[in-house]
Amino acid sequence: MSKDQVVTQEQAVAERAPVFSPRVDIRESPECFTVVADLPGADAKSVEATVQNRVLTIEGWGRPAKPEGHELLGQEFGTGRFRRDFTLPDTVDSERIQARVKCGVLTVTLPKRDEVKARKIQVSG
Amino acid sequence: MFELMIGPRNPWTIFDELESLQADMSRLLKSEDAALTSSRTRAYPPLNVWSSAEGLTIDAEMPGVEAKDVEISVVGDELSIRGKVNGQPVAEGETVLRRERPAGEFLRTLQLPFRANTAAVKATFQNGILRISVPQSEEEKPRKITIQAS
Repeated sequence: MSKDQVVTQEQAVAERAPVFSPRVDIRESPECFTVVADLPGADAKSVEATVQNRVLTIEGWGRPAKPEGHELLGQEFGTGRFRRDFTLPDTVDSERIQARVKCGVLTVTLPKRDEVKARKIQVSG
Repeated sequence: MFELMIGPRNPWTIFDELESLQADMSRLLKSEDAALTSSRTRAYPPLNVWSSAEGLTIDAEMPGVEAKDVEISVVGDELSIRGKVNGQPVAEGETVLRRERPAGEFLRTLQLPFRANTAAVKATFQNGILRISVPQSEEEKPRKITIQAS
C-alpha cells in the first residue's frame, strides 16, 4: 500500500465525522462584503478558507471531545466539523480577500473591485 | 333541510373532507414546528453535559462571546450562565444581507442533580467554548457504610 493511500484512508475517516453548516452574518458596505461565521472551537490552526471558481468555502473544526472518564448526560450541539460554501458576486476582488478568527468566530472580508465601486463623475458644463 | 342529510351524498362533502385533511396537516406541521422550536433548539447557549463520579462537566457553545462578558454563578444546586453576545451595532454605511447568528443578552439556568461544591467550580473559555466543571459537594457523595460487628 502506497503512502498516498494511507493518507486517503485517514482523510476518509475524518470525512465521516458529521458536518454542520455554520451560522453566518453577511454585511455589505460600499467597499466590501463581510462574512462572519460561528465556528466554535476553531482557532487559526483549525480553520480553512479557500476561494475557487468564485466560490468561497469555509471550514473549521476543534469542538471539544468527551472529557476523560465522563458519560454523556445531554447533548445540544454536535462535535463534528463546520463547512459552508458561498458563491461570490463578480464584484469581489478575490485577490484581496482577508480572513481572521477570534473567539471561535471567523470574519472574512471580501473587498470589491475598484472598477465596480461607485464613483462620482465630474460633470462639466 | 333534512332531505339533504338523508339524501344522496352531498356534493360539498368532498370539500369538507379536504378541509379536515388540511386541518390535520396543519396540526401535524404545527406540532412538528413546536418540536423544532422547543427549548432544545432555542435555549442559548446550547449545552453538552457530561457526568462523572466527581460531578458534571458542562460545555457551552458561545462563539464571539468574550470571557469578560460572561458571568457564571452557582448557588446550591442551581447553575446560571449570564452574558451578552454579538452586541456590536452595524457600522454606518453597512447593509445587513443575512443575519443568522444570535445576538443579545442571555441567561440560562440549569438545575444540577446535586448540590455543588461551589468553592471548587472551575471554568475555562477557549475559542468560543466555555467548559465548566462542577464537583459534587463532599457531603452528598455516596459513602460506603461499614457494618459494625455486634
